[in-house]
Amino acid sequence: MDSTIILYSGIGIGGLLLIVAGALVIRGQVMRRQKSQKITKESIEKMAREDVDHIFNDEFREELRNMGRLHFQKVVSENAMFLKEDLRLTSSQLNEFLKAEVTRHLEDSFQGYDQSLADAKNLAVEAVQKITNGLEEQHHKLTTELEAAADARKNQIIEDFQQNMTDIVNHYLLAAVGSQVDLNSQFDFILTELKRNQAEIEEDLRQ
Amino acid sequence: MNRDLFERFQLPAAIIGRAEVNQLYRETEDLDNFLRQDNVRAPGEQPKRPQQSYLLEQFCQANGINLLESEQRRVALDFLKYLKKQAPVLHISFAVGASPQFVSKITAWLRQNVQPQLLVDVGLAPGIKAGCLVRTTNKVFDFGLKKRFQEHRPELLERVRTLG
Repeated sequence: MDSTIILYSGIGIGGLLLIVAGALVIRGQVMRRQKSQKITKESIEKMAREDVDHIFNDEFREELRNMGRLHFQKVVSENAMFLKEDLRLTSSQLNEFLKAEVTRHLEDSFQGYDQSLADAKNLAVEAVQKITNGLEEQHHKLTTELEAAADARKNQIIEDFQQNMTDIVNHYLLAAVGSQVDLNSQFDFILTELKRNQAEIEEDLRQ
Repeated sequence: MNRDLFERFQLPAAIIGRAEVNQLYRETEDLDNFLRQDNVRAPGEQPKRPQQSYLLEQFCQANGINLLESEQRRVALDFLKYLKKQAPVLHISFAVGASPQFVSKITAWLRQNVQPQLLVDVGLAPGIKAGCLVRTTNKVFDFGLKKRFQEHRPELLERVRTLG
């Protein structure tokens, strides 16, 4: 931007110089015309034509051209330097801008990836947590059921053992008693039982 | 048959069951036959008079019966026949063979408290181990030790649990 301005300003300055030079020439002619107001029109035109040819001769033109060329070269070289500097600055800024933009884009992308990864991680953690909770619940339920079944089985075994134990005790007692008990010693027992069932016996015998 | 008269008869404790009643009936019948035949025989040709058992003597003594009197003999025979056919019978089984004295004691108690003309059939039931098994016309009463153990099984179970 700056180099362009400088270029345009150089061209403007050159133009202004040309206009100033032109104005000076025209002023000289006007002054000369004022001096020679009484000079005839043909002589004036002749004189002007000569003056113009005299002022703007080939050398003067060549000199002006050279001056303009030099000035133009100077302006161009200055502008090129400015342009180069500006280009360097611009490229540096552009690099920084690009770097910053790329970094920002990358950061945005990485943030997006990070967010996606975090979401995926959260989902995975939630799923794992749910599975873990389910497994723990199942484990707890199974444990409770197994403990209950084991307790029931244990109680059943104990109950069976106790029942069998009573049978065994009864069996061994009866086997031990055998036929060794004297009937006379059983008389009171038998009489007690008969008395206890006397009414029922009487009733049945009466029928 | 005069049932009221029969109900006044008493059975001595030695007469336990139908076997003794049958024996008494047979002896009384033999005596009756002998005495009837004796009337038709010539004097000096009579056979020897059948001897009465101790059981028959006890029976006659307990009921004041003179078997030489034909009427009393007839009543005794009718009563014994009645006993054979209609007397209530109670079966009682023991784990081992019971002595006659023991059975007599049981029979005496039964006649005194249950039925005066009750007959008792004694049997053997080794399975009960101790006590007795009483069977009436329609019922069975198990007074055996095995049954008693079974009845008291919950107590034994409780004891076993306490020990455990």
